[in-house]
Amino acid sequence: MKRLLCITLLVFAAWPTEGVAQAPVLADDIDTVWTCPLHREVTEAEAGTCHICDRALIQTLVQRAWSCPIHAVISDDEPGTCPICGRDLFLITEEIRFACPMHPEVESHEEGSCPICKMDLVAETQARPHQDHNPKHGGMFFMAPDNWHHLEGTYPEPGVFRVFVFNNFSEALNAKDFKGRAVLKETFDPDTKTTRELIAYPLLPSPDGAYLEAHVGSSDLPREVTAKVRFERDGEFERFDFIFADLSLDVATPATATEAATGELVVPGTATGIVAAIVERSVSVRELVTGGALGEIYLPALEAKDLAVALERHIGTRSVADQKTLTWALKQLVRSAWLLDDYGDLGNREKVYEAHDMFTEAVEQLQGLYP
Amino acid sequence: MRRHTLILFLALGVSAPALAHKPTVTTFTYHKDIYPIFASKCGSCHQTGGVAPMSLLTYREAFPWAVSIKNEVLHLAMPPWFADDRYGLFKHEGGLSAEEMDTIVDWCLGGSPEGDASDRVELAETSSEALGEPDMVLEMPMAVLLDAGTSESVEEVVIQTAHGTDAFIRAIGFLPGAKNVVRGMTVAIEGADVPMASWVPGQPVAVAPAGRGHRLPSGATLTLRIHYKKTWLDDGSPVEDQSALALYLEETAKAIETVAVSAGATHDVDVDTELLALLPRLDASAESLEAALVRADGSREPILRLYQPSAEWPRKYWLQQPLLLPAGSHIEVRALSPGDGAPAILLDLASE
Repeated sequence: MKRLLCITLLVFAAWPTEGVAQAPVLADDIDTVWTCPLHREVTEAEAGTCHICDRALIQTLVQRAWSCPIHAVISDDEPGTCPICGRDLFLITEEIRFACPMHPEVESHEEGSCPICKMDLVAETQARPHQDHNPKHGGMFFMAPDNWHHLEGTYPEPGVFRVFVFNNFSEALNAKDFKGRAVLKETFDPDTKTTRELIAYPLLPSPDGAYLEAHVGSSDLPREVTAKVRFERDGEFERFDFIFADLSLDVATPATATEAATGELVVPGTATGIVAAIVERSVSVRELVTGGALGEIYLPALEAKDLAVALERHIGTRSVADQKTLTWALKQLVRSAWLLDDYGDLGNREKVYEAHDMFTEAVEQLQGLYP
Repeated sequence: MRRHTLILFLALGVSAPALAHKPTVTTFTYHKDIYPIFASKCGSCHQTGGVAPMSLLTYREAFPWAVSIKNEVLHLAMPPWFADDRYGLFKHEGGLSAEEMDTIVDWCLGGSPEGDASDRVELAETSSEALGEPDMVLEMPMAVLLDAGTSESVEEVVIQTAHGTDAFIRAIGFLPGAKNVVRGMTVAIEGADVPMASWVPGQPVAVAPAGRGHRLPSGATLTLRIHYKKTWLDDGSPVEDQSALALYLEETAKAIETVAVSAGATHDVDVDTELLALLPRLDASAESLEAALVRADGSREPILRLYQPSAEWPRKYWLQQPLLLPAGSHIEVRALSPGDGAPAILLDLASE
């Protein structure tokens, strides 16, 4: 049964005057988790407190559904394609809530009746936030462009390259379901915009399906390897660029809040000081980009954009011409920082380079105006 | 432990060999931080019954689109302003500031929390320029019907004016009938090669500088060209539209002439002339489109540079102040990667 657009229509279901009423479809397999009322991405197996804000977690019902990677309004109870853009739908987790059809302020995580009008509460569903990107085996962790599959590359011993595949909930997937190769050398023709692989090795599944592995020959560190992995039978091979400065130690990294979210960034009091701080971050960004640590670029990049936002409040005293240049540079810096974060997650070095060019141009404009 | 609940808790307390990407936690909420931006920069289209396929003016309608909103904002596709901030000073600038952009993206990626509805502050209605009552309101003589099977079409409608004397148009208000399908309108004196005014949803009425106006001959016939496009909300349903024009007139004014300059071409300025507005004309989206003033001494000054302008949103850019184009200079139009299209920029010029 189709559940397309159910999020929007659920609203209509709750307030019949706003549109056509349609009840959500609840799956047969509904799970219980514990979530933070403020930090929607926090999901725990048992009752307790939020690891970010210490609020008491609330019991929440969740179910699985298929949604579009771009149009989150789409929700279906079976695989298919997005009616808006035609992309393949991917699996998400939906949270189930119960609301009064007449009193929208009445909302509960449990079935029941409205304390005001006694009407039965109506079920609604909302997509749960995206989950974590933490390496599980001491390697580099990337997200596939389909926003569903995740991939970790490791270099556990000289000449051995491994790829672990996960879903959106950090669950390990059977590597036997995926195809891939490890590319060591390739050429790019800018005229035809095509890449030709010169040295590549097949990525073969381990006997237990825990990972894909390629023997890429032993050579000195740092080691550059590009994984090209296909996640669907008829899908395209997606690109993930790795640089290993050291051998990977098979330990996992815990998830915590972002640097930006913790508010630890100290913003200098003057515009010149802020620009100097941005330049410092740009040096770190450049080192990480050139070093291939794509998954770590977000730290200095997002700090730089936080500083850029702070600098925007200082530009009113400059000439109109300077303000226009600054406005452009600050927007360019904010955009490129977020794109560096995004493309770094995807492990796509070519896209990272594009975003880094934008980032560098913005920083140079700022340096020109605050020498 | 159920399978869902394995998230995030696989390896607590183990020292990490490499930094990991961590889940982002936003400090912004919809009601306090996002609604004011959406209301002022997006709400003219993204409202219930608007031309956009979804409203962004309530939390429940906005948050499911977070990923899409983030992508549109980061790639400068929305809001559809396109103008490079470094060049020109324009009326009704519609882009996002760095802080607004950052706030939206952070919220989209950080869990899109709703926050407290009591934080929400409704924006006061603003009118960009005082116009008063129009001198003439011209409704389409009959409605246009988009049948159920038509998703997009361009229609031309002829409208007869009933003005007994020559006049000058200082402003044109476009009054869409079916706001959910009217994606844009242009109006021209019948038979003219180029339109004298254009409109896309969200664009306020722009008034020509004092003492300038497009010539409206007595009893002129106007050609109203309307771009209709249904969103997926209306696909499969018939929609009827009867839009109208509101004309604001002056008896005398310096006449505005509109000339088209194709990409790769120039327009020579023979006598001192004012440039008032620029309208990109795209039959396909280009990587960039630029108009620049090249003075007699060879110096070059970009006036308008558009980054990835969309043929879907042909917005007119009115300069805050007329720009003097000295005799002997010329306007140069350039396009980067125009593809198969033939982009041009229409210039609104006024001279003695």
